[in-house]
Amino acid sequence: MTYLGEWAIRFDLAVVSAGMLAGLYGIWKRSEFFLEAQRRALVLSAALIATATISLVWAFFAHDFSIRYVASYSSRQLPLGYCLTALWAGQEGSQLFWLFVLSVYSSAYLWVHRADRGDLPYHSTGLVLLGVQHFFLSIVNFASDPFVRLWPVPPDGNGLNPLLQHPAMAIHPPMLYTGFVGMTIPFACAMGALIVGRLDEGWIKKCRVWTIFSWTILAIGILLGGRWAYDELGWGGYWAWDPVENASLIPWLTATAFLHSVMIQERRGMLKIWNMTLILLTFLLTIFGTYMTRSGVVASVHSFARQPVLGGMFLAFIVSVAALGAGLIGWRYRALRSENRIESYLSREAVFLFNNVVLLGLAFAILFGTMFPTVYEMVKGSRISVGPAFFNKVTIPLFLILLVLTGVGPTISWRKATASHLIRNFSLPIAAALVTIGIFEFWGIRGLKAPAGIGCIVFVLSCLILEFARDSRARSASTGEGALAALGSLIGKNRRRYGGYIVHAGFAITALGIVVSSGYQIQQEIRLSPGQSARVDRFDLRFLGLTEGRLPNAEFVQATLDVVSGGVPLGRIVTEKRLYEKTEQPHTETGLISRLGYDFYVVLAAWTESGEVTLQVYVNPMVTWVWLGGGVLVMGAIICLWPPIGKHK
Amino acid sequence: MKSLFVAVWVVGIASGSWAVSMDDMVPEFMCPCPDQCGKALEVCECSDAAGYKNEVATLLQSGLTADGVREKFVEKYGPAVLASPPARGFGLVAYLLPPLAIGLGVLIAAALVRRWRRPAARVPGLTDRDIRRAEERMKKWNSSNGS
Repeated sequence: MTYLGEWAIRFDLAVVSAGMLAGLYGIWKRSEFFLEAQRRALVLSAALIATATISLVWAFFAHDFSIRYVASYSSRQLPLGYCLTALWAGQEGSQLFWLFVLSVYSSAYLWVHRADRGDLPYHSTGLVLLGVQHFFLSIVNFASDPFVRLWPVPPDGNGLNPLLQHPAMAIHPPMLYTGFVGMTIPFACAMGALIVGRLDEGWIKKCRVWTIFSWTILAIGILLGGRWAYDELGWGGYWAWDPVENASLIPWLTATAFLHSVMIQERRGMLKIWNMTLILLTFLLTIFGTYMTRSGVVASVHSFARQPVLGGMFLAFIVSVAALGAGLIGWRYRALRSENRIESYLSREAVFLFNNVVLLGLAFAILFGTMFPTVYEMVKGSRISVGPAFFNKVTIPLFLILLVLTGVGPTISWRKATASHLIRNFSLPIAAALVTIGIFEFWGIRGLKAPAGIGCIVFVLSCLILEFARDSRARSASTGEGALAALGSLIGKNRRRYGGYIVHAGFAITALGIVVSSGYQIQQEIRLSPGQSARVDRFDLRFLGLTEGRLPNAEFVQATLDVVSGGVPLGRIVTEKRLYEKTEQPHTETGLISRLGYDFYVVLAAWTESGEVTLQVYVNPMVTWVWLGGGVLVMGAIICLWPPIGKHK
Repeated sequence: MKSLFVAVWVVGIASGSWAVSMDDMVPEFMCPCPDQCGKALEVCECSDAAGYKNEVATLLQSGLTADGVREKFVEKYGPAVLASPPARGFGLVAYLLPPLAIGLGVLIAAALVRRWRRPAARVPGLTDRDIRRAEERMKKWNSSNGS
């Protein structure tokens, strides 16, 4: 079975190469025969990549340690569920998985747009997809082969990194990959349109829908990553500005910029070159993100797979794609010129333009901070670090500006906003924000940053609520529907617009969770003997005792505690440390009581032979809102994507 | 097994006075473990991290100031142990370039809007005389074509 997979990826390289040649010739000569050959090559390639992926997964389940990758990332004790997640535990499997997701996307593209089979851009997009597939097939065949054999075959494998033995790891990496790889489709649509010179509305519509889809999946991946870090890393937070986290956030920011500026193109025929550039940049950043984390160029917890050859291949690909993309944009420059002009600074177009500057500024600051240790090393010869303190300092002001624009964007009018329009739309939200900040000041609640952030969030939510209220009232007046029915049909009739507003509301709710949980976190270290109690903030903890035990692949020590607040029992918390036998890596399982208003989070830090424990206790207010807001954001995106009922193309 | 764990996570006796200072100090450092895990010390869970946190606590207990602890750590583990770039020399670039780039972006966007806002070059407007002349020519053209 594994030989079948191995030969599938070898043969696929030939299939994809032949498909690309057929596609190039077919586009040049407008030959249907060759264009169809290219399409079939893409379908056959997907089948071959699926075969290779399934055979590697099968090797994990069969404990086939003759394959080096299987021996490196699994063992006989590894629970069966993690035999699947081990596929993306290391570099070689991750690249194959990248390829697998790309081939699924390519097939989905061919199927979703099958009605356009007679159009040239359909095939030029396919050609670009084959090109990207060719690059990753070259990686898998020449630089990062997951089917390398071992002889003699070891009796057991090294085991899986314990950090990856978490249910979120079954969803988080595939989501990130699906989001990352999904950005290839809008890129291919844009480049395909440039190649054949068909720069009408067709490409932009396809691009927008595929970008929203990938953007949503990437957002879910980022949120799940945060949840995993919160549950598994035991430091009371969810975002540590690790290079891998940054690599996922940067293209998400540029894709967000594109989703806003594309509206200006659709509505006013402007920013066409800018939109092409954003699509190209987003794709390059997904590749660069993979490169950053896979080549070892940036030291990271995830850089367990460092290979200079691989880095060289990535760099060559990035430079080539950037040059080709820029060349194509330059070639079609005349067709991409703006049809209209911005009429006022006080217009939605201008706000979107500045929103783009802020989003790109954020992406640049994060990318620059992530790469700065490498740049510093190149210039000064020694290595320095850039940690969370730096990123917080640089990005928080920009995120605050972005928050304000999140409220202004949906409510300001296109072309030119009048003074009366501005007063009508913004006076109440500004008042609400100022009152909120005033309340914080009046009650002497600590800090300045958090109240400022909360004020901005109140502004955004007030803007959105007012917009929904005004529009549904107008609909109710014209149709006679009840308030809720009017709101429902308002959203249903204009999914893209109101789905977008819901996305903005989700972003604001997530921001609320971030601001409150980081601004007002309480952290305390306590030492307790069995039977002793302690008080942290308004919570009383009673330590019941330590337990030792064994899992199939690890030993553990558990501390059990009862938690009471204001005389009301909240529940029993169990926090543990595990020591995985194969890897000898310690690992924390946090104890958690989660409510809408707060999380009570306990980490077992140390213990003595006499049974005394040292605990790190965190009270994280409103941290659940981070994921709650994420859920609202995803719901809004789904509403945007939902196809119109009863309408067929 | 307990003793193995204790060796890994042994933490010094916590006293209220340094516990607060340690919380302030730890976020300033990266984990300097030999594996180069590359994580912030505050977040790191590798087997050496607890030892480094303990070292911060011991240095603070010995009466060193925050600057003193930083110096000791840099001396022992190199400049990469600090979680922020030095705000001097080439390290300043890290602090200056992002705001400069964003400022430049804002200026370019503002300039673009300003340029776009300028009305396009004016085409001379049509006079009544022009319209009359055009209508006469149309009539002439229609009559010569027999319609």
